[in-house]
Amino acid sequence: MIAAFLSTDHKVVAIRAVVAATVFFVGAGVLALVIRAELTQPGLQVVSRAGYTELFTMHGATMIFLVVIPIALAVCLYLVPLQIGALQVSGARWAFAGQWLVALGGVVMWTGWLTREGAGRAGWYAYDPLARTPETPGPGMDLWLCGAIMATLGAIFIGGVVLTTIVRRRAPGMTMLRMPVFTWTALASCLLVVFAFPSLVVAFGLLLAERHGARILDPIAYQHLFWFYGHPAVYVMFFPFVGLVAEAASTFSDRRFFGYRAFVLALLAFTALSMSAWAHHMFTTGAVPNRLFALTSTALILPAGVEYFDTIATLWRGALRFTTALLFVFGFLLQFLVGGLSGVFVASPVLDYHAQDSYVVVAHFHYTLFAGSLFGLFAGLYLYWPKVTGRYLSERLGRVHFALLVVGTQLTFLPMFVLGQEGMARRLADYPHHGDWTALNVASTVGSGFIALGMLVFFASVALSFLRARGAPADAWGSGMSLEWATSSPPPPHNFDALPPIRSYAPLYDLRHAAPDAGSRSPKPQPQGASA
Amino acid sequence: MSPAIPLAGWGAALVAIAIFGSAQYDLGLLPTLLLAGAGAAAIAAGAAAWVVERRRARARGPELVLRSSAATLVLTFGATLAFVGYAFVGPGVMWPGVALIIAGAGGLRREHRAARRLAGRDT
Repeated sequence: MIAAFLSTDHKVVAIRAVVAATVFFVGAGVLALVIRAELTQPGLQVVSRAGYTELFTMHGATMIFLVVIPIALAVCLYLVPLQIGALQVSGARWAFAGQWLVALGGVVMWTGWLTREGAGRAGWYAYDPLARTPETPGPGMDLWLCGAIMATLGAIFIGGVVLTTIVRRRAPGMTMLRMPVFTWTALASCLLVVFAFPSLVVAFGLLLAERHGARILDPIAYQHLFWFYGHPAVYVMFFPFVGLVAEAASTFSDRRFFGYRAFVLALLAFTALSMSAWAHHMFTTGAVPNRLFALTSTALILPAGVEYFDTIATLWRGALRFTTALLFVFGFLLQFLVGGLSGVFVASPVLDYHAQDSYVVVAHFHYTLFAGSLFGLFAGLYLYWPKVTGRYLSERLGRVHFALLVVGTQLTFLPMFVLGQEGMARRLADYPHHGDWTALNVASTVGSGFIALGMLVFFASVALSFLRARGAPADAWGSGMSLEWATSSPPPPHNFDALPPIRSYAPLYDLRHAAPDAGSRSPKPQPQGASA
Repeated sequence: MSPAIPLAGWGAALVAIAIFGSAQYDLGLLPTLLLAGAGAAAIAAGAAAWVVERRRARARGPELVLRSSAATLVLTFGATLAFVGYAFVGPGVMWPGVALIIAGAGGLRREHRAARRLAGRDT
């Protein structure tokens, strides 16, 4: 038990990070259900106005700082060394410290609920001057800032470790252009983490100093510092899941990923543009060159289109196996399209002035992060569960889980587009009796119930899988592409006993499809010189 | 392809966007600095990756796999206590945090020494 807490094995660190994030996910999910209960009808029924502000602040902050970003990075930390044939990560202690910083940051942030004034309640962006002491008094906000700083520092540590591992620990033959698609998405995410996330630490550090009497920031400078982190953070919460979707699409169509080089190039362009689009969150301030940021934001559709095209082309005429993972791939592709296209609309300053602070924005980012990233995560979870645990998840329960989540997602978030278009403002506990607003909000609340039910089915499936015997072979689906499928399920502490030769970005596919008469020419595994 | 190329290329793209935004759209000092600074840091990281890549090609041998590190956990807990104590609770929490940081740093030193001894024995 103690070993599980102290282990620096990248796989154990990643599992610990996912377990901690799951605990916070359940907490944030409960907060979301309370929010939806409050919004079911006009008036205040469940919480006070101040309480509601705490609820959406803690829900947003928990999901971003403590759930989606840590899970995205944990997946990178688990898979990247396996995919590039590394025995361990570079800087294992940094990853270990990073994981604990995120978990402890979460505890510090949630401790705010125990203070008399309550938890942080200035929104997940904690705008200055709203987050200063006169406007948001009490230690809960200080704890919130401390927790967010710690979680972000932890993310930077983990991102740095993954990046350094890619640079330093690729197996012989694993050139950059033989790295699997997921590893490229991990590299893109970690570039953003390492080079954009420090600005949040600076912004929140200065804000903390301001709350203790210093006068350093002006509101626009704060927003630049915050969104320079905040927008790339969206892609950190997206790229690894695109990678998981690509791996699942490739595995369950038994085809190499289509357009590999175009995908890599598009990904790097995507990453550079996503660093340059942050001020579209500030269109309505009038303090930024809107035309520039509209240009960089709209240009994002080009690399996104390439990635979509490549994923669909991989599936096209593939030998599709409709496993739960592949269902989640289709869910991701269809639903993220709604989130992405609504993003193109709000990338236009003219339309953004109308949508700003309305439920259109809430619907847009939930379609990207929930309907997109979370579905991508589940595609990856169903794909890699046998690799991580040696056991399979129930396909039958998986389909029920998928169906409940799809229904819940549309019911919860689709009405929000209509509500926002009709002018319903976000971040308010109450709304007037107006047209069909009550009916739409009831639909949204019912939808959140479907989502909660879907998650219960998933947790039941996870629990049931642990009752089954371990039996997954190394290549758990029989159609693995990259090196992680060449080692046992679950992998040993040193990752590999032997590695197959690496001659492309799909070395296991190469092995499977080597000409039968190649005989002596077929690649032989190479033993690894690991000592523990 | 060396990892230096995507790193430095990506950094150069950020610098180019910063220059373009500044020249064509009056981007402003802070946004330009943020973008160009991140780009410059990525270029520097690319240069570092290039050096690491060259060294890596020369030195390949058996390596030790780190299994656990109690010292890192002590250090992290200490840093948390010291930070939260300094920013919010007060010296009552901060000083125990500092003590844990010192203990953790000492432990890390011992872990590094032990790793060096093991590595020497292996070779």
